[in-house]
Amino acid sequence: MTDLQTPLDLTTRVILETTQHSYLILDRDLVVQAVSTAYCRMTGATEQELLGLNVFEAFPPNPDDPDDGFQRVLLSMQGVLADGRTDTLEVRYAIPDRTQPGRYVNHWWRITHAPLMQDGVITGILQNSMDITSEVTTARDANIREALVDNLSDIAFWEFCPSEGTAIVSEAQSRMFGLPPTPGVTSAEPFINRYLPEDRARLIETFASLEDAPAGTPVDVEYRMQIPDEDIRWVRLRGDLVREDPRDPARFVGISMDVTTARRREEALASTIAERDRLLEQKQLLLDEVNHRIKNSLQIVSSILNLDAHAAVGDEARSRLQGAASRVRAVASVHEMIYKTGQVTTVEIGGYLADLCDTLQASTQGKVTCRSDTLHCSTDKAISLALLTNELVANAFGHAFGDRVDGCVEVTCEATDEGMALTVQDDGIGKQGSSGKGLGTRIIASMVMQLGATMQEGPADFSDGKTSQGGPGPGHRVLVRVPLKD
Amino acid sequence: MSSDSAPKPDSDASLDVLIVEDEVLIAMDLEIQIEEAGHSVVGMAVDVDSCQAAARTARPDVVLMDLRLRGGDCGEDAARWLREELDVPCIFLSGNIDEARVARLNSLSPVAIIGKPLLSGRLTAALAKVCHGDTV
Repeated sequence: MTDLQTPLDLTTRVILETTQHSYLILDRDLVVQAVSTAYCRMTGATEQELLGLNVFEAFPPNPDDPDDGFQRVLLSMQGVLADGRTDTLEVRYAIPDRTQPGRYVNHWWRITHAPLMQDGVITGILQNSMDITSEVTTARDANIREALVDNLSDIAFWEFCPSEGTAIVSEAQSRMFGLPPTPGVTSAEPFINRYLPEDRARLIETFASLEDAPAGTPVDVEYRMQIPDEDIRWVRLRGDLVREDPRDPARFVGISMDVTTARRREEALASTIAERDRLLEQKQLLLDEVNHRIKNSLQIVSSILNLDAHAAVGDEARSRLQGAASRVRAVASVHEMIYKTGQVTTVEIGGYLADLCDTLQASTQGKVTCRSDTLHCSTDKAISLALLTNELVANAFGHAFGDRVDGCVEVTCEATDEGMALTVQDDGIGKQGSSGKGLGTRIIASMVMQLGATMQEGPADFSDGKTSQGGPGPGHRVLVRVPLKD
Repeated sequence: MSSDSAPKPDSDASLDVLIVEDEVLIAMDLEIQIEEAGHSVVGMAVDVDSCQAAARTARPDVVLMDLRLRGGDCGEDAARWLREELDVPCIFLSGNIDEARVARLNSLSPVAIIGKPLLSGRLTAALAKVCHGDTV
């Protein structure tokens, strides 16, 4: 072996301790003979950990990394030992992380191997290493970024550094903003100036407020932009804050999207909705007006009949007019219920019948009571039911009591499975002969038919005892079963 | 209601009623119904001005107030004046009673709000309430 047999001279030792460069001296077996202090600092290894070891034992290749530069470094060394020529190579070679056994740290190196000669014989290798990791990765990042901008040329891509007022933009971004293409770093100002003044201020404020935000902070904002002599457009900016080092200024990377169409559609939709609301409001106003007119007119008809009845000469005429007034009132007052509930198609008939009974009570000498469940039915049926109830109660007062003034009529309105059961009963003299062919009787029959109802008659049955039964006769009871379910 | 305009506590008492209704046939009908219920009609008015004039002279216990009056006048305004100047309550009559309107009218502490076409039982009941000193 032609190893470095002689110990290092003092000069060499001082140089190795003081140089800022990383040197390693190997013998022909690639065993570490000497190392510079800078080399130890660079690799994180101590002199003791390296001296006397084969360099590939000192820096074992990463077993999990088949693309590692081990082979190239070995070949370079063997070449130097073989023909004595200096060799330089750039290589990725992971070195062990001395603080975490088993782990490797990736590095890029520029390594120069020079032969050490003694008496014309190659006795070893002087290795000079430079860590070029950051140089390589920076260049690679730049390449990736450039490639990205090229690949995304039809996407409005941008990189924006607010604190420096600079940007890197894709062609599409320039196109969107009506600006000439600007490869490389350019001023962001022409782009910012395209935004409408009030939006521009908000944009600047938004990015300024994120200056100290952590990397990865998302940005998603929308502003109005205008190219001179063109329509205002909406641009949506979506991106992320990028920062390699916390001390670096914030940079934002993202894309611009023209969302004008979506915005215009929204605006059109909003105005359509506003127009619809206006029409609905107008419709409601008209409906209110018509409703008011109908009710007022019905009130006038009802009032005319009342006045006629009041002015009539003769009991027969007065009684007929009162009957007519009562019928009109029964029909007309259903309209009041319609509006009160705010529903045009249904009426709460139970409460309505109670009110109707109060009114009938007021126009007769006897007593009318009403018990009713809460029941909803269509407006048509409510009118029929109102008329029917009006006639049944009027009938009772017309025929049941003779000269009595304390006659009682009870109206009950109960919910049943198929609809409702309307009962009108009195404590009068009971059914006398046939019903006859009076107008009231005919109206009752018509309403029963119109409602698809069934009617039963019989003696009164005040089983609940709620109504006084001082009458001399068996009383009379009419039960009408009305289907309400359609 | 305040004590100085408080009506008689007796439910059979006769009230002095002012009718404010621009539809004269309806007003006449109301007059009959009120009188048949045992009360007196002390005046008829068709708009805010005639209402104020009649109320000042007749000093009614209660006013039967239509909400739409002659010349586009609003019964609500007349009612507010009656409440503020004379502390006289109203029974409102209207063809249109929606929730928003009821809420506004309730701020005037009316005796009742009755829909048109009116069932006389409701009017009688409202007048009876005045006799008892109730408002809604």
